[in-house]
Amino acid sequence: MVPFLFRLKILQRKSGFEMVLNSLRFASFFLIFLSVLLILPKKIRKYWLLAGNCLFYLSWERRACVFLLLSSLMIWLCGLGLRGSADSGQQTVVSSQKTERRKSLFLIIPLVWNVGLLIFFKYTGSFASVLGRAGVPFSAEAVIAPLGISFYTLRCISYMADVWRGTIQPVKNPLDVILYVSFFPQIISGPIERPARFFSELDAFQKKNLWNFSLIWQGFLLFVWGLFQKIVLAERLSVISAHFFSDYTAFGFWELLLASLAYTLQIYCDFAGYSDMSRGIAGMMGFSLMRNFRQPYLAIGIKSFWRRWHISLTSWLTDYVYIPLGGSRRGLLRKYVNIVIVFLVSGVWHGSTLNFIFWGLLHAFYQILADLWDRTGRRLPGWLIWYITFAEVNFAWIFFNAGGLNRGFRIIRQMFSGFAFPSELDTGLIPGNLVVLGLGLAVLLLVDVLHERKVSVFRKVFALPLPLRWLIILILFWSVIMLGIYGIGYDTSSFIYAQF
Amino acid sequence: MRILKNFGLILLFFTLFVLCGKGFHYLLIDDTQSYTRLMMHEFYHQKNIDHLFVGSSHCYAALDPEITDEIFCADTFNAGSSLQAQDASFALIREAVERFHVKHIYLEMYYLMMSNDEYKDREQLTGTYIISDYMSPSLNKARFLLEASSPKYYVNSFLPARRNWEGLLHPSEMRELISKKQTEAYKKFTPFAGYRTKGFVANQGEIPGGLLLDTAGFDVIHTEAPSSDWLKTIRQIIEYCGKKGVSLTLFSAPMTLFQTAGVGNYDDYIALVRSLTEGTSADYADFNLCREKYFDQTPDLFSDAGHLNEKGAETFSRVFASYFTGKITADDLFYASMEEKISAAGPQILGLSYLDSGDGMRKLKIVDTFSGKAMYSVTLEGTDGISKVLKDMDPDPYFEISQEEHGTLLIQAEDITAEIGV
Repeated sequence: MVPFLFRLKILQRKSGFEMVLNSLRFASFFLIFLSVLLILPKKIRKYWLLAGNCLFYLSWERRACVFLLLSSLMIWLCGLGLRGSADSGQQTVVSSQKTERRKSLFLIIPLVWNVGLLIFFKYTGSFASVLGRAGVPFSAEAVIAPLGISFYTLRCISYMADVWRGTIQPVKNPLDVILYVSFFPQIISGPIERPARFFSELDAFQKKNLWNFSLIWQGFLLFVWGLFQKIVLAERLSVISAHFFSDYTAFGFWELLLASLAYTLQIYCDFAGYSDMSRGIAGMMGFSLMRNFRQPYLAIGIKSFWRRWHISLTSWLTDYVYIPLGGSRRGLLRKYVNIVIVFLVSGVWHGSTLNFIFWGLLHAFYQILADLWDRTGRRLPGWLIWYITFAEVNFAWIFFNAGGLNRGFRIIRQMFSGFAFPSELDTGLIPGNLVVLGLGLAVLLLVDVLHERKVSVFRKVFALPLPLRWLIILILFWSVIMLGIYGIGYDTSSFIYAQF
Repeated sequence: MRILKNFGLILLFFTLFVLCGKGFHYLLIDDTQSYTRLMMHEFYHQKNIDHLFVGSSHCYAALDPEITDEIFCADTFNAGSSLQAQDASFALIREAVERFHVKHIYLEMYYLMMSNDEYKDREQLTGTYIISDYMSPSLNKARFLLEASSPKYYVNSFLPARRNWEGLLHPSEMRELISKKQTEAYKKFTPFAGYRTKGFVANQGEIPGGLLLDTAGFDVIHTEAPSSDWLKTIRQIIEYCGKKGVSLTLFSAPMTLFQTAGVGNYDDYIALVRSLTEGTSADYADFNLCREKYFDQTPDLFSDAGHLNEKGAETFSRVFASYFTGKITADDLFYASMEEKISAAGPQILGLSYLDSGDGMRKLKIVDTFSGKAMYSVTLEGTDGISKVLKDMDPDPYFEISQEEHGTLLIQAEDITAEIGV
C-alpha cells in the first residue's frame, strides 16, 4: 500500500498581536476603545462596538474570522427564514407540511454548519491520531481551531433554537447578530450569553447614558478582581500543580493530593477570574452579563455544584440538550440516560481526548448517585455533603487536567502507591510566593463566604464613603500590579478555558 | 458640572495611584548607593549645560567637568552612566536639549555597545532603569521606555517598585531601607564614594604592575554585524542634533593598549564609526589613538583594562578639552590608526586575555604588539612544582588550561619573555 499523507494547513494561530484580557496590549486597546465610545453619538455606538470586536478578533485570527462571519450571517438569514415560514398565513395540510419541512431546513442547515465546523476544528486532530494508531498516516496537526469557536458555536445554536421555539424574534439587522456572536469580552471564554438577554442589553446600550461613572468604577473593580484571581492566585497555583503533575512518578499521595487541590483552585481562579474580567469590561461599556460562577466550591451537593460552576454552559446544556431530550419527565431510567448524555456532551465539548469524556461521565455518575441517595430519604450533615462534593469534584479534575485517560489513571495509581509524608515539601514556589498565595486565597474565601451569605461585596464596597472605597480599589489594584505573575517569561494567552 | 466633577475624581484617583507608586518606590527600591540618582538630580538642577557628555561608564569615569568647565570656559556636564546604551544616551540628549541651551554634545562610543541585543530582545534593563528611574515624567521618558524593551517589561519599566515586590515580605529590610533614606546625606543628595560633581565618578583603582590578566579584548570586534538598533539610534541622534542645531561629536574614551590591541581589529571599528558620520555634521574622535606625548596609556592611569582612574581622568579631561578648544590639532594628537600606534609601541607582551569556556577550561589569548607575526612558547610552572609546556614556537596566540591548574605562565614571543600568575 502506498502511504499517503493528508496534511491540513487551514489556519495559523498567533498573529503576533494577540490581545488577551490580562495583557497590557488589551489594556491599551480598551482604554482607547472606551474613551472613544464615551464620546460617540448613541447612533453609531454599535458600529464602534463592531470595530472593536473586529480588531480584537483580528488580533488573534486573520483568516478564521471568515468562519465567524459566515456563522453569524447564516444564523441571521436562517432566523429570518424560520420566521418567514412561520408567518406564511393560513395553510392547507399539504402546504403546512411543506412549511414544516422548510422550517426544519432553516434550523438544520445552520446547526449542521456550526456543529460541523466545531467537530472539524476540534476533533480532526484526535481523528487523525486514531487513524495514525491504526496505521493510516494521516497528519492534521496544523488544524487549529479558530479562537472561541466552542463558545460562539453555542451562541449561534442558542440563537437558532430560540428563534425556532419562538422565544425570541429573529433579528432584522445582521449587525446585531454579528455583535452577539463576536462580542469581544466573551469571545475567548464566555460566558455563553443568551440571545434574549444580549439583545436587550444591546438595545439598552444604544440608549443609555454611558457617562455613568459609577458603572465604570464597578466594572473596573470587577475587572481588577478578576485579574487578581488570575494573575495573583491562578498563576501561582499553576506552578504548584505543574511542579507535581509534570513529574508525578517522583511523588506520593500527599504531594499529588496537594497538586490536585492546587489544580482545583487554579481552574476556579483562572476561569472565574476570566469571567469576572469579561463581565467587568462589558460593565464598563454598559452591558450587564450573566454571572458564570456562584461560589461553586462552597456547594453542598453535586447538583448544587453544577448550578454554580460555569453557569452559562450548564444552563445552556440544560435548556438545549437535557430538556429537549425529555429531562426528568419520562421516567427515572430516561432521566439518568439524559444526564449521561448531557455530561457526555459537556465532556466532548471540553476536548476530544478520552480524559474529558471520562470526566463528563464521572460527573454524570456523581449526579445519578446523588439522585439515588436523595430518593432513600436519608440526610447527611451539611459539612459531610460539602466534603464529599469537594472531594468528588477534586478527583474528577485530576482526569480533566491529565492530558489523557491513561495518564489520569496512572496519576491515581501513583497517588496510592505511597503514603509517606514528605520530610521537606518543595512546592515549586519560593516562600514569599506561598505567603502571597495563602493571603490571596484567604481573601478569595472571605469574598466567597460573604457572597454565600448574600452579602454583595461589590455593593458593600460601593456603599462605602469615597475615601474607603478608593482605598479598597487602590489596595486591590496595587496588589495585582505588585504581586501578579506576568511580564517577563509569562505567556498571556494561558487562560485554561481559552483552549476549549 | 457632574462630568467635570467626575473628571476631577478620575484625576484625583490617578494622582493617588501615582503617589502609591512613589510610596512603594521609597519602600522597596534601594538607591542609596546610586550614582545616577545623584547625577540626574544635579542634571535637572543645572542652570545651563553648554557641553554635554553622554555614554557608558567609560564616559562618566573619563571626563571631569570641573576641569572641562575651566578649559571650555563653559558649563559642561557628564551624563554618562553604567551600561548606558545609545537609546538611553538619546533620551538624555533630548532631555538636555529641551531644557538647556546645549551647544555641543559628545557621545561616547564604547565598542561593545555595538553588539548589544536589539532593544525588543533585551532581557537585562539595568542600564535603562538606572537612568529612567530618575528621569522626570515626560513624553520623552515614555518614548524611551516604550522603545527600550518588549511590552513584557513595561510594568517594571513604568512602575519600578514592582521589580522588588518581594521586599514587601521583608519588613525588617524595609525598615532598614527607610532609615537609610531618612539620613540627611540621602535627602540632600550628598555625593559619596567616587562621585564628585556634575556626573563625574572618580575610579580609585589602579592596575597592579606587570602583565594584565583580563577578559577584555578576547574576541575580535564583529563590525560586520552591528546591532540594527545601535545603528538606527546613532543615525537618529545625528539627525536630531542636526535639526536642533547642536554640534555632535562621537568619541571613544581611552582604554588600555591591552584591550585595543587585544581585539585585533580595532581599526575596523574606527572605520565603522567614521562611516556613520560621513556626510553628516557629526565627527568622530577616537582617543585610543592618542600619541603618548599627550596621553600615554600606561597602567597607572587605569582602574581596569577599559576604565580610567581618577588620575587618568584628570589627564584625559585636559587633553579632551584642549583638543576640542583647538589647543591641540588632530594631526598632532592622534596616530592615523591603531595599527600605527601598536607598531610605534614596539615589541611588547601586554598580558593575557581569557574566557571561561564553561567546560572547566580557561581559554587564553596572548595579547601583544606583534600583530600576529610572532612565534609563541608557553610553559606553566605549576604550584605543585611540575612544569608543563603548553606551546612551543607556535604562531597561534590562543591556548587552554584547566580551571584547576594554577601557577606561573612563562610566555615567550620572539625574543620578549614575560611571566604571569594564573
